[in-house]
Amino acid sequence: MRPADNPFATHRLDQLPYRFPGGERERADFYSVLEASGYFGALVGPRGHGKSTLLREIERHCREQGFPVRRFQLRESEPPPSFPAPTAEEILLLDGAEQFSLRQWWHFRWRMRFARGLVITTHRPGRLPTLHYCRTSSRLLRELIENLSPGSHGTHFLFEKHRGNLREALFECYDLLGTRPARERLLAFSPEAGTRAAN
Amino acid sequence: MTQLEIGLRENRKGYRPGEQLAGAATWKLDRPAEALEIRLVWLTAGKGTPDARIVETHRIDRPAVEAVEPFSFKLPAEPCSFSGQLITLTWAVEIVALPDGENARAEFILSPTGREIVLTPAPHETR
Repeated sequence: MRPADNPFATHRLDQLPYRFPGGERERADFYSVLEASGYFGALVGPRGHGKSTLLREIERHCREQGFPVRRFQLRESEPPPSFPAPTAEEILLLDGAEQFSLRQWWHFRWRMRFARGLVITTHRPGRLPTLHYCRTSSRLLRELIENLSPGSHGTHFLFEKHRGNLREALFECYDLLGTRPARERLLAFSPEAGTRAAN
Repeated sequence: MTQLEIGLRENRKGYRPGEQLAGAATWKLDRPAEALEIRLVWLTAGKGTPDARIVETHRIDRPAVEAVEPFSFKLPAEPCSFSGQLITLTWAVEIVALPDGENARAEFILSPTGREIVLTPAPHETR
């Protein structure tokens, strides 16, 4: 199977919408809270729990509302990007704020103080008021896998193995699917297949 | 609804480095665009962060609402289209409406043989 054709290729995962446990009602409530906060706060949660996905959705929402938006991505393997001073109309989105030291964080906050809004993602609460705590579940993973590769089953071990980190679980789905012939595809997701793939 | 389309001459899918790639971009906009860009690009897909590069751009400022525009690009020597275990590298010509970002794309293969290079693990790497 070509990597680009793998149902769990990254470009397909990036198109998955963030799923609120409470459905569309919770989504509507979230955006009410976001707007009432003045677009100021944090999305909190462990790795692979959907923070970046929700941040991308917020970016689209802000653009649809007519706000200029700038998104910054901090990556562990790369130096931080430059942060030009924002305009008073801009809403800033910062993905990965936990990677800032306290000193770097306060320098960033001071430099961005004139922005209209600031939404960050972070692993722990505290730097900004928490807007939403991103949560995952075995059921959510099952639904995502079914959405990407209909008919797959036996995925419960993936959620437990990766401790709720959906990104890592879906990466393992990529590996399992990519190493199996098509006729075994539907049986790929089992603890035994995971062990064979790991070995 | 805006309609964008890229057509490659003779619907060819495979090209060799250095060849001239020609085709036409067709569009029908539902509202005026600041510009249209016809881009020669390569992009990766698979596991991990996707990558993309714009190799060459043909820009049309204040385009007509509906038109057909021919294009021609001289293809570079590399990178070649390939598929491995983790990554597929694909070439494409895309048309992008600015500032909205609506786009359409036609993919093609660039390689010395005109066919995608398939990377297979060495025998000692096979699990």
